[in-house]
Amino acid sequence: MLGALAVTAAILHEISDRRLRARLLMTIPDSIADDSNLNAYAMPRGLKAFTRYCAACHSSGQSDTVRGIPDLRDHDWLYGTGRVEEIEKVIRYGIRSGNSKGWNLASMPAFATPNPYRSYETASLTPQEIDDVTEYLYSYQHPDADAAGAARGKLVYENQSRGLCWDCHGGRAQGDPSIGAPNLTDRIWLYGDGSRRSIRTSIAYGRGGSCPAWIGVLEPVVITALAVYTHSLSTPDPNKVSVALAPDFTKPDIADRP
Amino acid sequence: MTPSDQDTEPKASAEQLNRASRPSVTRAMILYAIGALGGLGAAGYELLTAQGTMTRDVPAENVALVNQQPILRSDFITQVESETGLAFERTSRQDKLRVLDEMVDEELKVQRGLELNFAETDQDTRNALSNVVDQQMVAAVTTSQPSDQALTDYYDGHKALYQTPGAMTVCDLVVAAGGLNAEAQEEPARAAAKALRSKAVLQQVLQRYGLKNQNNCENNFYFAMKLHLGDELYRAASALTSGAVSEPIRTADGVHILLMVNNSGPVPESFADARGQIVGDYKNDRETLIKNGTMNFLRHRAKIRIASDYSDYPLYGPKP
Repeated sequence: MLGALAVTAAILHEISDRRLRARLLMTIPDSIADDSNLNAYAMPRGLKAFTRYCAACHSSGQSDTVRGIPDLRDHDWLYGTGRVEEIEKVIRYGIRSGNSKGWNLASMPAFATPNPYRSYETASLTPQEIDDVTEYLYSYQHPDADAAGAARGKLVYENQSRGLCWDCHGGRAQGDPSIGAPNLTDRIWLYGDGSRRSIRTSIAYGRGGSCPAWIGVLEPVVITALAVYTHSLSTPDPNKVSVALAPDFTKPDIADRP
Repeated sequence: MTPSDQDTEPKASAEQLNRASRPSVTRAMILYAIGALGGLGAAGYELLTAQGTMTRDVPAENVALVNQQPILRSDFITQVESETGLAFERTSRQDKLRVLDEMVDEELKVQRGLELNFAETDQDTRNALSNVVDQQMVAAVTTSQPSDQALTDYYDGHKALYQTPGAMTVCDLVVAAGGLNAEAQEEPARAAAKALRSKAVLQQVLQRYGLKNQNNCENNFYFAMKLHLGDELYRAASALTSGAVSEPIRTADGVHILLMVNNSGPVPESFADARGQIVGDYKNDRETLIKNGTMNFLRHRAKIRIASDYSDYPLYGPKP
C-alpha cells in the first residue's frame, strides 16, 4: 500500500515537474521572474548549474579584472541590457565561442602591433597617440589628467581613419552594448583598475574575452534556469524566491546582498 | 454450548484461514494486467515525448518542428526582436507569425540544400562548413580560462616574446638635390651631421645646409619605423643611440642623415603586464596543437587514395 502511494506520489511529482518545465520553456524569458512558481522552479536549478558550470570563471558573480571577468551583480552589462532573454542568448551561444550565433562582432584591436586587428585592416597608433588616448580616457574619472594630452587624445579617439575608437565605443566613449563595447567613461573596468598603465595596456595589446556556448551541452531548461538565476544576481528582490547558497558561495558580499 | 459445537467451531475458522491464504488467480491476473498496461503506457508516453523522438507534440523548448528539426524558441525570440527592433512581448502577433514563417522557410531550404548535397557542389557551403569545423575543433580552448600555473609556465618558457615594442623618435634629414649629384650632396650632409653632433639647433642646421626634415622627427614603434624609413635607413637608425647622428646614407631618393632623438629598445615585461598576451599566445598554441591533432585523426580515419603521380604526398606527416 505504501509502495503504491510512493509510486503515485512520484508520478504526480513527475507530471507536475514536466508541466513546470514546459511552462518555464514556453514563457517569454523576461516574464519568468514575475511568476513566483516559475521562479521557484528555476532558481535552485539555476544556482546548481551556475555552481557547476559558471563558477570556475565567474566565481559567485563578482568581477576579476585580471582575467577580464565581468561583475554579474551590477547593472553594467557588456552585451545587451541585462534582460533574461539576452543573458540566455549569451549562455546558449557564448561570446567569441566559435558558435556563429554567439556574440562576436568586434574585439579590441592591439594598436601597438603591426597588424592591430584580424578582421579588417586598421593602422597601428604611434606611442604618442596611445599615450594621448590613454590620457583622454583617464581624464573621465581624473580631473587632474593632463588637459593637453587629453585634448590630443580626443582627436585621435574621434579620428575617422585612424584608431576608429568611436566606431565601437561611441562618440562619447559610453560604449555600445549591441557589440559588447564597454563604457569607458565610468568607474567600471573589465580589465585592470582604470589606471593609465592598465588603459594603455588595453589599447596597446588589445582585449577580447570569451564565454563558452552551452547549447548542446546543457538542456534547454537548464539554460533558461541559469539565465533566470544570473539575472537575479543583479536584480535582487526580497519578494522573489530566495535560494540557499552552496557553502563556497556564502561570502558576505553575496549572501548579505540587499 | 455443546462439546460438539466446541469441536466444530475451530475447524471452520481454520478452513476460512486456508481459503483466505490461498493465492487468488483472478486477483493476480488483474494486478499483472494493470502492471503491464501501466508499463506499456509509460513506455508509450516516453516514446512519444522524449526529446528528439517526439512525434505527437512540439517540445516546449521549440516553437516548431520541421521534419523533426527544431526551431528553438530562443532563436525565434531573437529573430523577432532583431527584425522588429522591439522587445518580443511588444511585437504584434502578425509580426511573430511572419518571422516564424520565414524561419520555417529557412529550415525547409536548408533541408533541401542537404538533399541536394550542396556541401559537395557549392563552394560557399564548403567554405562555411570548413570554417565552422575549424571553430568547433578549438571551441573548448578558445573559451577556456587557462590556470595561472599553465600561464606562468608558458611565460617562463617564452620570455623573449614578452617585451615592450621598442620605439624611437628619429629625424630623417635629406639633402635637397638642387641639381647636385649624389657625391656633391654628401658634402653638406656630412657638414650638417658634424654640426648636429656639436649640438647645433636643428632648424638652423636645416636652413644652413639646405636639408629637409622629411619625417618631421617621427616618433613610432620599431615595426612602424621599419616600414616608414625602409630597410636601409631603419638598419642605420637601429644602430644609433639617443642623441646620435648618422653618417650620410646614400639611397635612391637622395642622401640622408638620421638624428636619433630618442631610442627606447624593447624592455622585458613582467608576467602581470604581459598576462593578456600570454593568454592569447597560450591559446593560439593550444589551438594549433588541437587542430593538427584533429586533422591527423581525420586523416587516419579516412580512406584517402592519392593518384600515382602524386604518390609522394605525405598523408600523415607535416603538410607540404
